[in-house]
Amino acid sequence: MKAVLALGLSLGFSTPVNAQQAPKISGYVQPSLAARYLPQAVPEYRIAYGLEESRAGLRIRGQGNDAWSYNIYLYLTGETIDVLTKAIALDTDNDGDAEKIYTRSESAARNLLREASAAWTPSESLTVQFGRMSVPYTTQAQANDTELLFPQRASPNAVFFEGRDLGALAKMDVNDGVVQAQIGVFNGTGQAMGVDSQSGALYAVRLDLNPLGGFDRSETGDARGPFRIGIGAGLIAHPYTKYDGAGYPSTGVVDFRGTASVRMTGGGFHILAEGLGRYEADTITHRPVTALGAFGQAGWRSMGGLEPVFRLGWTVEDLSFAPQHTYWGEAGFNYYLKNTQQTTNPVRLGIHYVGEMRLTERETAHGASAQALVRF
Amino acid sequence: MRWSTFITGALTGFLLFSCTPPLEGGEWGQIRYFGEIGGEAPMRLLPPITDRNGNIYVAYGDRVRSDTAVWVGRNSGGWNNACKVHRGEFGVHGFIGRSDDEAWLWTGDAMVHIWGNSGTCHELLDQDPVTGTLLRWQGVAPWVRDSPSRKTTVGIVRAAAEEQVYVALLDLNRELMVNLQALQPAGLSDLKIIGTGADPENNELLFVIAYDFEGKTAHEALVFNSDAEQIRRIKLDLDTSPGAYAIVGFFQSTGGGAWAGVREDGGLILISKTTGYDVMPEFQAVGLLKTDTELFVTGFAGDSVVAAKVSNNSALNGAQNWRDPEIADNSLNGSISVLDERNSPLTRSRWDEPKNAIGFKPLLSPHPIDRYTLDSTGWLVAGPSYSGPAEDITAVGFAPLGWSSP
Repeated sequence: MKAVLALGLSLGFSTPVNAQQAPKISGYVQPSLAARYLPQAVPEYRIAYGLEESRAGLRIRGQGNDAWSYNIYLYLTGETIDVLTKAIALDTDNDGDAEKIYTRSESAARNLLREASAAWTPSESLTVQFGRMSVPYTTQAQANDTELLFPQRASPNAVFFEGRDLGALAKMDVNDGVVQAQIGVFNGTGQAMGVDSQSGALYAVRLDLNPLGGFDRSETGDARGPFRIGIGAGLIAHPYTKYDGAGYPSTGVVDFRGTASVRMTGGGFHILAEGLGRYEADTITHRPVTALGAFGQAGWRSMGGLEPVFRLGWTVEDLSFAPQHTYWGEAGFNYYLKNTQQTTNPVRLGIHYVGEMRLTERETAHGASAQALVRF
Repeated sequence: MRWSTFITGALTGFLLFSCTPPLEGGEWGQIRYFGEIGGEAPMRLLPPITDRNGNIYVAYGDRVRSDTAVWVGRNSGGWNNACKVHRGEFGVHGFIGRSDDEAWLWTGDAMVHIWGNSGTCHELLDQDPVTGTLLRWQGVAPWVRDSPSRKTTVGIVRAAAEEQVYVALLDLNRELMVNLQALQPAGLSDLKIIGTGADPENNELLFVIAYDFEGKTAHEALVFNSDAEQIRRIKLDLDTSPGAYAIVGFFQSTGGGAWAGVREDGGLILISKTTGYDVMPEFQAVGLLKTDTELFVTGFAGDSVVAAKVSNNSALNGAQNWRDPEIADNSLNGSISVLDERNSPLTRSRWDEPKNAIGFKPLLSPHPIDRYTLDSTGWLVAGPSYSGPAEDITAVGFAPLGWSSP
């Protein structure tokens, strides 16, 4: 990958340098009141509600010169992770031996820097991007956070691949988006790819065919937009080596993830269906990790600004030894406030329900949220 | 990134993708040599289990010893040293459940929690958290209900100094007992746990007990759900009164309401939804095998391995030959390559004339056979041995072993 970066940088130095343009700043604030009900949980955790799902983002874009541009996306959210700050051994029966460990954790913000990349555009049909960015796997993973049908991406999408990674990505666009191809190499240690001591690049390729012309990944249907349809497929291959505690290689692993999608938009409609699959094998266990999943979602945005939305999802994990089935159902409404100031980003209000049925684990969960998305 | 790593990884990936067919019945996968253990084959070892992340748990011990130990093999290669936890007179009962990266073992009066990543273990709920009274876990169902909000199982417990026995729901995350209720009828005495079992598909946990009440000895099967609520209480019609822990391993379910348990003498206890009885089959029963849809009693008819299906009305069908254990046993001949994971880096070595390490033949055990994959389980193989101070010390390895329904 260093070689790829070096090649890109050397190519960049050869392009003419023009005066820099002022950066374009955009962003959003999305307060969200969410509630969750877990009927099978202990009473303490059965009902939870709050503003934790609120988030805000700030994007800075600009041109370094004619061929080079940059993109920085900072992301703040109420969702936190617990970070261990203290651990004390406890002797609960005063026999001189520590039986338990008392731990104290503090909440810490998750990734502040969601994207930071530089892009080199040597021609209209080719862009090469370097830095931290989304991996071109599912089509939904590439949609902007503010242009999703629901407040969050589909749960099956998160089960298979989520988050960003560092790498280089070439994007080719033929005939105004009729054919879009992406091929990239990433460091493979992004958030969702495991935290073991491992080494090995992640390769991603995605091809989209849009016979009626290219269209963006936005899931919020444009009431006046033209009809567009697209099919696509993506594949991730991640061969890597795991190292043991002494630093020696212990396992060779190959992780394949594939996806195929159909999407359609026009006249206020948005429809998206994606199928997902995973196969991971290694040199030691003789036990492949396999999983399948799918989701489909639809919405229709009326001229009045009301958008009913629906989504169904399913995954089966650990298919090769103990299949674990999970189903999701989601529904809700988005409402786009009248755009009196003629801005391109109307304020969006939303109210949504999500139900999760973990069939194998015999557990259900229900959630609801109300949000306001204010973009600038 | 190291290009050599990439090339190795890519080649490995290509080979793996094209060369990992499922194991045939009786076919061994790669043997992972993890330790040297006291005893000769067949050894004092239980069939191993795996967690969802692929860590392997191997328990050493038997019904009359108090030196239970557990080895944990990491899914990425390498094993942890054995941890040793035991309390009580009886020996090891068996594994009672697993989760993503942890497992639980019931040994003597103790319940042991084992972490898959570190290989460490500790006894949980050895005393009442409030009074400090020592607790004896007399019966624990072999199923940990594992869901995002809780991990629980059901156990029968009594304080060391008291006669009163309770059924408790065990919160394994918090290591607490909840829904504690006295075992009925009130005033029972001389309680013996004959065996326990679990049927996760039907959300049922079984405790087969014997007790004295009003001058008579009663034998009953108590069926609870995973919230420790009693579903059924079945009176058993047994010809001989079994002793405590007469069932080797655990009862297993047909999935249709019937249960079977194997006694040490080769007899069986079969239980339906309404009654239960003991029987001595025409063959020597030594194990149980649960497939997706059926339960078989496995054993020997002469030198042949046989399996007999248990019907949902608890009747035992005729025995038929089952070849997979024979194939697996016969294929442990000659010199076999093993992956030595005792030290880093992992190396290859060879064992001459390895043997089956558990029971009479591979795949025969009264303990539930772990689903390593849909068509294989994990098993143990004994390698070369040498004389130790008290007994032989034998090399032991883990290997996937393919099997198919009889």
